[in-house]
Amino acid sequence: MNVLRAIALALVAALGAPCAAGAQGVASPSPAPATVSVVGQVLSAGSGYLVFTTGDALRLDSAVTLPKGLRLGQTVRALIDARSHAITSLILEPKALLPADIDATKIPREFVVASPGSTRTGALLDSQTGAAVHGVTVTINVRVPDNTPITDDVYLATDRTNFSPAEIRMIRMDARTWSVSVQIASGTQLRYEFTRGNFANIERDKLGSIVNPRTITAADNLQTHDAVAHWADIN
Amino acid sequence: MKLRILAAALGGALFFGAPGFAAAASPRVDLQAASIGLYPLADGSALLAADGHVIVRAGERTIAADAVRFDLRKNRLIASGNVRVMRGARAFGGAAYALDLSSGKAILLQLEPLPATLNLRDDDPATGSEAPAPPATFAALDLTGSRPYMRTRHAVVTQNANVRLTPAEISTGPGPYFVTPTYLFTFAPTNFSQSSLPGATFDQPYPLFGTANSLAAGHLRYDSVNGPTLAFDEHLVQGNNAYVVASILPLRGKRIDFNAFSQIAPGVTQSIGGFHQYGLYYNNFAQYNAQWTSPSSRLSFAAQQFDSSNSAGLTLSTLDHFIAPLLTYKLQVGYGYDHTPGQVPFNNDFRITTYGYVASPNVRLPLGVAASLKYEYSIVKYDFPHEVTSGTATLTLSRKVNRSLSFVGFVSVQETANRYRDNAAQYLFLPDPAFPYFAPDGTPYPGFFAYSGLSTFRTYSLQTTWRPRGGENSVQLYLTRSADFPQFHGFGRPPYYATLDVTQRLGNTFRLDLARSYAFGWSGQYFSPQYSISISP
Repeated sequence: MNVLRAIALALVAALGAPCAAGAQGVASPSPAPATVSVVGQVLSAGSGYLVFTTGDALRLDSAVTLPKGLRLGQTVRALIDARSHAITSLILEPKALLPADIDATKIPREFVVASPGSTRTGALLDSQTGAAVHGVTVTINVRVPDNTPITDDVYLATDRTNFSPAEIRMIRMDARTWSVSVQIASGTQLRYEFTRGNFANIERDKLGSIVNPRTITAADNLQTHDAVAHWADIN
Repeated sequence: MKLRILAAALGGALFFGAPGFAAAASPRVDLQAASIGLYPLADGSALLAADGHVIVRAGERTIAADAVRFDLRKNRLIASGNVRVMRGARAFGGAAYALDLSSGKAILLQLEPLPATLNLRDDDPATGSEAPAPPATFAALDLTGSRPYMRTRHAVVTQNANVRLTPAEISTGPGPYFVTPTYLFTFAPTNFSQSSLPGATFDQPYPLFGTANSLAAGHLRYDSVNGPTLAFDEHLVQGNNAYVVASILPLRGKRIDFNAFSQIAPGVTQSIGGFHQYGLYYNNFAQYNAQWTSPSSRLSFAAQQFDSSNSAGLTLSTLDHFIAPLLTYKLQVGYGYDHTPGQVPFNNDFRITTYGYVASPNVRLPLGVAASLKYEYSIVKYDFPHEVTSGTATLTLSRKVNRSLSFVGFVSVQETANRYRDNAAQYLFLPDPAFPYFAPDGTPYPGFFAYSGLSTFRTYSLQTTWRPRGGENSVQLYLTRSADFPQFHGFGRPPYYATLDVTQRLGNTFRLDLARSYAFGWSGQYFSPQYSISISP
């Protein structure tokens, strides 16, 4: 709508109508931008169209050559000619957003050739072992029941070893609290439960049922404070 | 005996309603492409990203496209770029195609001859209706710069269960990919966390076969007793309500284990388990346990057999009750039966057990010290006039000096009286003066002659932990002093014990836990060093 208004104002100014008063000291409106910059993720490109993952299809200028290696889901900056409504240039993986960039979910509708009414994917997520992923230290703290034998150790069993019941021996912090820090890749989902070293003395919930493994997504300095309700082998 | 174990396992399977575990064959989806990457994602989903001449076969449907994204958890795929869908005699194309494999609903984005979005039924554009697609229909992650967890050129997805990659290149972190002929990646939302394998510090599972509620896997393991070894296990799981797990260690530490559990109703559970050990040691063990837990108490029945000995018992106990802010307590009574061949004077005996404990919360003391105290007491009275009473008091003190340094120490004193009432057969517990006891170095142990069935076990323990900045690497020093009476002629607990334990991460793949222990003045030796090595991911 802003673009339409700008075009209308420009037309009026060009015809020298009442707005000629502008010449008498009133600032003239800034000219409509020649190009509009849109940043979004690519769903499909070819046959004269570029489709964003929002489902919005935009026409590609015949002079545009598609960048090599363009992938589904990849982020691009598309420069759209404000007059022809066609994409005149594509930039892969822009380093940063510019003030003039418009998100693909907010493309001026007059540029959109086909509009399935979809929305854009949310923020990009870390994927496991991705290049941008880095090691983080996660600290898991657990409080055990009072009747836990004082000479027993508490272990962390995780999905990394298919829940081997003696995977990592935890460190006793006081009479009931145990702790361990583990380094894993950021964004990794870690599922874990507690044992006393064997499947026969794995934790159970208060009613004696199986405990669904706890789940955390690794992030810098993440700390958990868990509690074991009951051990399978202690009534 | 093996037959007995197998029979028990079979019985368990029947007992737990094996038909309930039988999974209906899930439909499969076959993907082939120039490259396929598997990305386990932070939101808990797993994604297959196929690029370059992708061919997907799902039932009667064949999809060809430049790229496909298959969200395995949501069971939805998006195909884009020169999409061609063939189903029976029908064939059509488009710029993008989104398919929900669970419902069969598909949405086609066509740009030619005119741009349009079609909601398809049975993949028939002729009957499809032009309508806006629901939000996020074509949402796709930008995977630029991300490394897949695994790579392949051929993947077969068993919907809602697993994906087999053939061949599979598995990421080892930032390092090179490890190539295997095939790999089964399980993404079923099933709880496969129960195990029957003995504990190991390193266990790399290699899934072999699976469905949405079953999983067979091989394991490359390391534990400090057996060293590196192989194991296999099979899981049958029914939600969080029931499971049967069986495993075998065929090489080192030879044994077969099984473990099964079912929740009959909220708070009512039963389980069976056992093992058959062969090779160096030969033992058999099986147990059955049933529990009913109410909001305030628990009633349980347990029966077990170890080789030719067996026992059974019924126990009623309170749950842990907390009387704020003073203490936590628990009381328990039980009645049971023991059968021990060769036991003097009778093989069989019945017993009444009473047990209880009280524990204080952690109390803050000056200098940042936290203290807690616990006292346990138990009485076991047998039909034959014999009783065992035991009282244990434990004081624990801890102090966290800073983020890196902490101390935990405890003193535990246990007094045990093992006596025959009315002096009926107390001589059974007393040493025979005709055969004095000697320590391994030949020294007679006179203190043992003072033993009259009353024992005292004292433990003083101090653990010092240095964990730089609270990180993963740590150095721990454990010092333990045992002062027992009687000190069993050199074969009881070592009077002094020290362990130094160092945990260090080695790169992104391994974490090494190396411990060296010394038992001082024990078994006729000045000290006896022991190593313990643990490797974990």
